[in-house]
Amino acid sequence: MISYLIIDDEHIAHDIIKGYCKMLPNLKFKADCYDAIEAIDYLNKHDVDLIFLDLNMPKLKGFEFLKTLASPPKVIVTTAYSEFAIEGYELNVVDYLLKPFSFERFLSAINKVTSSNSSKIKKENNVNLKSEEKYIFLKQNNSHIQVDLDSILFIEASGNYTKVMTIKEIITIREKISNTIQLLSETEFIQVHKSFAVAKKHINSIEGNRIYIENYIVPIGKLYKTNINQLFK
Amino acid sequence: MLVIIGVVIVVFNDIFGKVEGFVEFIALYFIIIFITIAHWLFKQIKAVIRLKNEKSKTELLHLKSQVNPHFFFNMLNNLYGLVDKDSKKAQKLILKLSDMMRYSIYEGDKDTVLLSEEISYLENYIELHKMRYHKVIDVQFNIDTNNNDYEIMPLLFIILLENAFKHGVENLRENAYVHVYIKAQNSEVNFEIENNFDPSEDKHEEGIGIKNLKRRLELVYPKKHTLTLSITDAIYNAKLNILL
Repeated sequence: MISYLIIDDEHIAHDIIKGYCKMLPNLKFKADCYDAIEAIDYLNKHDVDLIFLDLNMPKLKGFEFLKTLASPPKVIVTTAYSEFAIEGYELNVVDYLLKPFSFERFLSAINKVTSSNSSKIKKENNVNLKSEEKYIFLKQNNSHIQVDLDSILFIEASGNYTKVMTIKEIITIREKISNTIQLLSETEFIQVHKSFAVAKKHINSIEGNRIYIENYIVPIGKLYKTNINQLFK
Repeated sequence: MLVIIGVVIVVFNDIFGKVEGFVEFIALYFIIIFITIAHWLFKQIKAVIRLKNEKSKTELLHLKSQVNPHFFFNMLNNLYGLVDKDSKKAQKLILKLSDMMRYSIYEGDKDTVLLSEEISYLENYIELHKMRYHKVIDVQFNIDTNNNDYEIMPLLFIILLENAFKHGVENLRENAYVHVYIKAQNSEVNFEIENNFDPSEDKHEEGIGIKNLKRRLELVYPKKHTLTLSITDAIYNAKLNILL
């Protein structure tokens, strides 16, 4: 899950961002701030992974605010001013969105956040694999079932539960799909739909909007096409 | 020149051999020279005057303010968000925005517009600004024109109004206000605007907008206008008076 904070003095800009984020599975809204002072107050007490930052605000401008943070979270700038993009590079912002921006453009900014996140996890996972963590325990009802990571074909969300399809059985665990993916391995699994993530190595073929795995057919969500395209690179 | 005159004198002395003819000729010669020089000078002066006129015209065109493009992009973003939430309101605001754009594109090029048109342009600007912010702003717009309409150079007042929002409202976290007062009578137009601002935030150095405004007033209303800008504590006040 990526938790986010919106800093913008125009309230409709908040609505637009929140509306976009609702369409994405792994973004968690934390707070609305209407100027940088409010944001500093909030960040003193809470942690967030991502900030949507407007630049032109009362009292403290966006970039000045950013400079005050010792270890800033990831930042996506949203502004009507194109002339500060260079300064954005110097401050290491993830992306720079010019208002008004489309959902597609917004999504590619979010993908930049998630891809830089998963590369971090990738490193951690490599360490894990060396220590031979190829098995995990999944809790179904009252039993803990040991599962070989290699045998998992794909996982499917169903309400508050996630179904884990392995070669020989189906295990239903009480966990959200986004948490389950992190529990498994983000390098081996790829989310292809709001409710589906598949194991890369078990994919037989991909045709249009479908993925064929063993005897199953898994749909590909519109928003996750880019994830699939990365497989072909 | 002297050499030529010398040669001419020698030649004529040879031909006429008389002093009288030579004097007549010299007089004629100088008259022609004088006329030629006068004609040339006249043409030059005319060209300089024409050039000066053209220069002030193009300067004026160049100085004519265009509404800050960021204002348009921010408004478009707000409309983009509003379409889903309140499409009726979005439609209303789109009309206001297009009125503003049409006005600043077409009317802004004219030498004069009606004061009433200029006022409705300012009103649209204020309406659109009010919906932008989360914070509450106190905007008062008082007009006292006695139903008279005047012809006035377009887009003068918007510069002062824009400044009030840019340096006042935008930089204040709360309790921002903008008060506008327009009075027109006896071929005299008074525009007054007052706004509060954050003194620690804004140094209120004279920007390009005010400089351009001053130059335009000088070009179009020379010695017929007064512009007073004053700052007391955290309050900015601008008064513009134009005799038509």
